[in-house]
Amino acid sequence: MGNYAKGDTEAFNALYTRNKAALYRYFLRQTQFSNQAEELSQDVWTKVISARKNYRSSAKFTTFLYQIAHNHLIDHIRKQSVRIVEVQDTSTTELDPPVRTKEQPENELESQQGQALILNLVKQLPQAQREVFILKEEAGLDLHDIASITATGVETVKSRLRYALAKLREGLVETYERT
Amino acid sequence: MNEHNDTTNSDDDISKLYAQASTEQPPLHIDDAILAAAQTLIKDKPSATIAFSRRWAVPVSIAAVIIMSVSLVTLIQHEIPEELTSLPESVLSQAAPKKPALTNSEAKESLLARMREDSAAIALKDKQPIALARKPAASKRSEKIVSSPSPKTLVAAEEEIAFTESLAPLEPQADTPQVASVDISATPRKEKPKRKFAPRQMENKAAMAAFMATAPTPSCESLPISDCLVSLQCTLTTKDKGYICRKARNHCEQDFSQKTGTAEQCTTKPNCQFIPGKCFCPPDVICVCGGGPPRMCVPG
Repeated sequence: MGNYAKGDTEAFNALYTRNKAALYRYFLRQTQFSNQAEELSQDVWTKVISARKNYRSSAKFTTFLYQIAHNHLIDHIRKQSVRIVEVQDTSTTELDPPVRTKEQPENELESQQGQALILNLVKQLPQAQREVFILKEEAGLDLHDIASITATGVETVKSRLRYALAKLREGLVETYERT
Repeated sequence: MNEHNDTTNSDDDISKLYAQASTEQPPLHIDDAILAAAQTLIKDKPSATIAFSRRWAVPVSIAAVIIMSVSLVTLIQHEIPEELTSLPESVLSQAAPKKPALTNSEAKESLLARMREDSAAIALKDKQPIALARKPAASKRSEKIVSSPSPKTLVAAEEEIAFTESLAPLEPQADTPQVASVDISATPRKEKPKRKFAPRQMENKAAMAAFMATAPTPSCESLPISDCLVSLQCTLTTKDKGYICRKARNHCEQDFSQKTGTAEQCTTKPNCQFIPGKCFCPPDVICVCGGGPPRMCVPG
């Protein structure tokens, strides 16, 4: 980022390539809509470009990036008066079993089913737990960084992550047992 | 312990499963737009002139404000005496006292004459050594004056003369309207008569007094109620459920203030009768009743 601030556009290209997908998915999981995720991620990258001179190399770039992303998401939620729906009814979360085609082997089918299931379970997590989980999985941030970004304590982050993982585990076990 | 290990393994499995599932990518047009924006912004670096102007904008603004303020104050200080001297020639000539002002040569002659008188007096005192011995400082000062009247002394004497002369029209005169005298007394410059240009100021004040005396006084009809009540030349009367201000018609109404005039002031005039106000409410007062006639002094 420091190199980019000095005029090295290749440095920015590298940063962008490394982080673009994770940031996009961060917004996609939070908003559930691809068009909003595109718009928000574009806004955040524009902010990053504008704030290149204010960047302090003491912080990790990912922390800096997701701090902007978190704030922008909060602004977006407030502006749009979007209330992220906390789905409590587990009956709606049941997945339709994927239809097996002749060419697909059985283990591949199971794998596809598991991936769709985990994404669906993540979607159903409470917003705070979901954000902590995504920041850990997508951005690879540790608990301290997540706490800093979400302006909460480390213990709170740890607790949210534990709850999120527990719910995902329960959801997976329950689905596999049923099938 | 085993349970903890199971949980950790399970968490890892979840992470792996999520990593396999989470493969969405932003569309290519977004990539292009962002990368293009990044390149454009780097190319459009602010020029050095803009940076320079931004850096110096605040200090230059502050300096400009200070310079403007100082020059404005200085200008105002110099402008005020000039404004007073810019009165019309006719006014200035009227402001000149009946006794003509001394010319420079006359002033010098007068001063020298006075000095000669002083020196004569000192010469007499010189013959009295005991008296002189008591006041050595005074004698030294007098000797200085007598021995060599410097040009500075002459200039000071000129100013003193002009100052004394200019005081003459300012003295209260029976013919001078009261308004004019009030305005002059309200002039704040009067507080500083010892300034360098004090004599000139006093001349200006005299000119102003004459100007005020000759200036047309506003007609009674144009006066507001509050001013009409105070005026000694006008009388406030009721008419058609309202008030009109007209010129005083007789000696009773003349010089009688309807605001402060008393019954005694009215009845001391020959053949005048005081009529107290009845349900009269001045404009700046909240009253229980109003609309009635104010106090008046009428013939009777």
